[in-house]
Amino acid sequence: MPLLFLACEEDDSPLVQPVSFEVVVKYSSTYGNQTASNIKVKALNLDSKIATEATTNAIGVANFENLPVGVYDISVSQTYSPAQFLEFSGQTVENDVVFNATLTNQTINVAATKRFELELASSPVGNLVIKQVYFAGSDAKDGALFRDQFIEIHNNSDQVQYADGICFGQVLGKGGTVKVDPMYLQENGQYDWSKSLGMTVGNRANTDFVYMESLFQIPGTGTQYPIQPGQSIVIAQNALNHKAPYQDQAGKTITPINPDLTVDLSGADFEAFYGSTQASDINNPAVPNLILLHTYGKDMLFDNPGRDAYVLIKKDPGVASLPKFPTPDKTTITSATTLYYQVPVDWVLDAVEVQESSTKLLPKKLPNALDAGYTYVPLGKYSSQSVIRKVAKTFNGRVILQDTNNSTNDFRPLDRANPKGF
Amino acid sequence: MLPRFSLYLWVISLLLAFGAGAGVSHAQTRIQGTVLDAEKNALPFARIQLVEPHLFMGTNEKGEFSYTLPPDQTYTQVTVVAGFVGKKEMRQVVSLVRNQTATVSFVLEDNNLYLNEVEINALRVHTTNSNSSIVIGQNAIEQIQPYSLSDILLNLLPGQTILNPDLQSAKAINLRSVSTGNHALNNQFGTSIVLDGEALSNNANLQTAFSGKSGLLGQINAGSYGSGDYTFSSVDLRQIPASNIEKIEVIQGVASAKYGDMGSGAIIIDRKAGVSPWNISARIQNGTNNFSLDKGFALGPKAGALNVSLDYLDAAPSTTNKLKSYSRVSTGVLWTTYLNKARTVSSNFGVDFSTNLDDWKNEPDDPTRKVKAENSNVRVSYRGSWRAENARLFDQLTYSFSYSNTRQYSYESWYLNQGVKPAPISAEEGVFEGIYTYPNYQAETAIYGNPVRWSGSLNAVRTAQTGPVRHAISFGLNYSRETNRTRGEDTDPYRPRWSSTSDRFYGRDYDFYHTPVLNNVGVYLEDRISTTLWGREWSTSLGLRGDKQFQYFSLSPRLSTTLELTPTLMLNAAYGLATKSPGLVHLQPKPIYHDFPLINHYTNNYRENLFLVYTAVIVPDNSALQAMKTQHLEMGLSYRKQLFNVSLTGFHKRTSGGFDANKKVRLVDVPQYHIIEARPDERPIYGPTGNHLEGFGFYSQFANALSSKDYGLELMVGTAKIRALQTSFNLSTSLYYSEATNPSLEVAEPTEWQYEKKALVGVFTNPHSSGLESITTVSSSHHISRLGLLVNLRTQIFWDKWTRNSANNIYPVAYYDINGQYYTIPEAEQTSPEYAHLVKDESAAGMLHQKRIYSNYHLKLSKEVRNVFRLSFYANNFLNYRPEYYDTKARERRILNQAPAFGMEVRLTLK
Repeated sequence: MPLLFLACEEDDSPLVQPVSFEVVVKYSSTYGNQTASNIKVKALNLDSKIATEATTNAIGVANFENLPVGVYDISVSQTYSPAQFLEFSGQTVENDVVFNATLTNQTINVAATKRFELELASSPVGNLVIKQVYFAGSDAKDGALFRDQFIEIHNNSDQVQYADGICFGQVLGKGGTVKVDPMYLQENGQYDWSKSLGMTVGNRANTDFVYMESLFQIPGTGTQYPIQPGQSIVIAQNALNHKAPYQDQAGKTITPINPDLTVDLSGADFEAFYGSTQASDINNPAVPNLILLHTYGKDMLFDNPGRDAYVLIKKDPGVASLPKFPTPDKTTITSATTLYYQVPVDWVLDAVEVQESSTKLLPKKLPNALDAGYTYVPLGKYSSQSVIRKVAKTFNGRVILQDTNNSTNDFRPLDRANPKGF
Repeated sequence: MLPRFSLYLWVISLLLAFGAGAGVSHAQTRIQGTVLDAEKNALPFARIQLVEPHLFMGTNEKGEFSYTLPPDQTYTQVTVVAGFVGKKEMRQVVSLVRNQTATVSFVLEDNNLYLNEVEINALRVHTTNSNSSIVIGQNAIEQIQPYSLSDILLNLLPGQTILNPDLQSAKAINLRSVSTGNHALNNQFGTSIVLDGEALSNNANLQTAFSGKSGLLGQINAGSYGSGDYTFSSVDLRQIPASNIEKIEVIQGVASAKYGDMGSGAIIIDRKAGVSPWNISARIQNGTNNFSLDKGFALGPKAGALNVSLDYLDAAPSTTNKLKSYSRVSTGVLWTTYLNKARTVSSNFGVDFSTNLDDWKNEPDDPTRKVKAENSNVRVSYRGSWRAENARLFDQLTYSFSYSNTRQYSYESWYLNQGVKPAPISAEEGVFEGIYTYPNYQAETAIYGNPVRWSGSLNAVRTAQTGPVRHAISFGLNYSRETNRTRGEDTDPYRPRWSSTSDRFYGRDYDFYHTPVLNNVGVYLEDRISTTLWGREWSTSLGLRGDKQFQYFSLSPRLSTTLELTPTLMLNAAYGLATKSPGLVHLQPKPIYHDFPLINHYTNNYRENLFLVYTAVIVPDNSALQAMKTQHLEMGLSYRKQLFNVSLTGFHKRTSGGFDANKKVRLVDVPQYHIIEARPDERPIYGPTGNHLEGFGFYSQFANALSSKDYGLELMVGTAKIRALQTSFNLSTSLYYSEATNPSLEVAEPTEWQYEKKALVGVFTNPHSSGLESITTVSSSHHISRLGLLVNLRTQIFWDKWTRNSANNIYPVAYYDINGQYYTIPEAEQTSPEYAHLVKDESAAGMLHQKRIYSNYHLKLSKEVRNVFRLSFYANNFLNYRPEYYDTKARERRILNQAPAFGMEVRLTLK
């Protein structure tokens, strides 16, 4: 006989059962899905508003023991100081980098899963950098002379970047052979731009701006040319396979005397085409052409001995309308005087100062904030060598290049220029 | 054959003698004489000149000569000059008594340093060729130890700077002017070089790759050494060896009407002819070796003499320099004889052969650049004179004929690695597909030339007397025909020397088969009048010359006069006009191509590559080019005493119509094309867009465009040998001032095209240049004849030298707009900012100024040993005086004077 004894039930309010769960914290794929150790994970009970913290262990697991069941927000917020971040990723940053990850309204009870994965994400870190500059060219007789020059831009950040609208160019500085009255020069021998006609900003003209000898812009509507994190684009003077640049009517290939000295740029992403001023300026119809904002010479020619400085400039609609100034030694401006774009230093994403050699130094073209040192190729012009940034860290195929704004430390010579290589 | 010919002539002269006059008197006035050498041996075939009657004759095998004066001649005295190769010339004045025979005898000494007086300087002499000729004798030539004609002229002519012998580029001489650039080239082009009576002409030289678009004349340069080609200039002076030259006469003033096709002057060279001993010499300098030998064989008493000469030269800038060299071999044979027993018909028949090679490479092993200029020449010449006794029309007839055939080859090879480039190939006008050049290749330029010249001249002299006035009338005609018909320029379009965007690019073959024939005909009439004016000797030469040069006829009067003010002081004046024919290089209708690229589609797939180009062709018609005219006015005074002589000459020379390439522009309507569809592995489909563009084609066309004015003063002082010092002195000072301009306008291709401006292409006046140079040369010769020793010190003092280009042509005087319309800009508006973009760079105004007076010292030494052996030595700048100064404008240190150079010569004379 059922006992309808609704006897006093035991107060079976759910027992606050203690549960344990683990949280695995990983970095996103931009960091190779690496597990994050020694990270504080916070589990916030939405009912009681009690937060519990646990630290991930060496394999990235944070164990939460005996927490009451409930609905939780699990979050991670980890701040890396620049020194810590440099050690972690090899990337130099100016400010703290904050990594966040959140899982909200997660029900935790006995039956629920006991394992949560958090993927850390930070605000965008890193930027486009100049990865490789091949200015030396290859042997004048056996190679391709200066026709195989290229510059390679690398996406050193963790986001997809778009090349559309990015500008780059060669910085103007006083060359070695030009004789200029010392009153137009600074103490270090470089042009004193504060004395340029029309300059109103005084000495800031030397410290806060760079002056472009040539200025190029990558075309595009805005999202036409993505660069994946860790990937790069090659901008060639002539997008041609310089190892086999010619086939005659009979199909016979004419190569340079030593094709190994030069490179294959037929797969370049962009090309500089000036029109018919330089007869060897080839326009590869398959490769988009750069927008020429200011040119110097008959083609995109980098100084073979290496006396140029290169800057990468952010996309900004005001680039083409930046003010232009003549060199300080010009006392009158005629139609023949060349005027150079004045680019603010804070528009510069990355810069490299190149010299001819450690013994033949020209006055610095770049302010120390952009590049405190310089780099060069030991074998000099027409040696097929290039300068390339050192690799700081690789995360599962994503390469992060070293960028401490000092090319003496950040760059090394590469015996044979290698587009998209290392 | 020979005896019969002389018999024939003998019969003719006999008949003429009979027919000429009735009543031939048996009493005749005669001159006769003998010519012997120092050992009292007879000298056959010695040259005898009777100055006043203007006659030449030769001695027979016994050294005897005789001349019967025609009855109408009333000379009271005749100057007789006797000369023989290798011996010092002698002159004697013979008094004549009517109907009697005057006898004169000559003993000619060997021309060596044992003579009492040796002339080693150039002398100012009044000759039948001009008032102010500079005569350079055998001893002066030998003392220079020259490798070529260039050394002789630079060392001895007044107003020239003595330079170290340089055989590494073509050499020319600038007479009486301080001009540079194309004015200097025209001055050289107008200098006629006459060798044994026939001109060596450079009119048919076409060795240039002139594209018709560039301002440069297109000659191939051997690195930094200059060019081995001499297309727009005179014959290359270094190709003329000095070893067999006997005498040089340089005419810088007004020449006798006999000489045509010249502008600034003539260099008349007489080579050795006649019996002479073996002369073997070797001249050596750092890098230069020169061996020569010559001999005049006596072929027997009737057959005359055969002169054989051989000269070999091998020159490099220094003995250790393996990159540059110049070598020359020249050889010649000359047969001089008389065709009749009476020795009234002389005959000189010569064959000369020479070959020159100028070679340069940029590296000793595996050079990437090579330049070669080869030149070989065969010349056959015949010269003769006929002294007709008792002829009606003439007393002496001289005739010459020559054929010259030169093979020229100019070559440049350069390994170029400039990448694949588009190149046009069409020689016709229109839209055509071009090709793409190889990326790296051996670029070769080769120009084959073959100037051939036929020339001949006939000259007659007739003396006459009208009262107290004696006339020597000479008249004659000359003809030359020059062609250059051969391969010309060959080019491989896949391996061009210049990129197709350069204005030196030509890119097409051009053969010389269609170049015109250059015919020059000249006639002249000249009367040399001599008489006395108030007891003073006065002689005047009135000449008129007519030339038809190519298609242009001109008349050139030539007047010169000398008046003896006192027996020691002579005044001379001359005025003349001379015309220089244009050369084939100025006249040739060489097509000029302007190429406008339309489509440049290169995918490195030969089936797809497409280069489309619009070619415009213009063939300039230069047939209306006229001769270059030079007017010359000269006055001088000369004072001559036993111990010293002084001559002062002033001149004013004006040249107009000099040859220059004027820059012009033509408008070309260029249709625009585009690719309609690009297909894989096939040529893309292309077609016209329907738009047209105005293309500007800049080109240069030869015109009579240069004019210049030269003024100058020349002072020459010579002393006799001062016995106490055994030294003689010679001073020559020159002061030359020149102004030169091209009065036509030139179109300047803009460096940066500013299409938004109305004034697109600027037109400018040409710069006006001027210059001044003053040099004094003091030559002192210490000569001890007993020892056969001569020491010569030449000091040159450079007083001043400057050249200036005017700057006021940087502003445009006219412009073309985008449609090719021409607008003149009034003077007031030329500096306005509206045209500021056309203004030329200010640094175009140039000035070169010698800041200080400096000097240079050169030493030459010669010693004869027993008439057999001569040892000579020279040292240029022997004190190593090289002052330095700092040029503030160019911010450089400059060094004056060349580095010292030494050389020596050994010469053997074997009888």
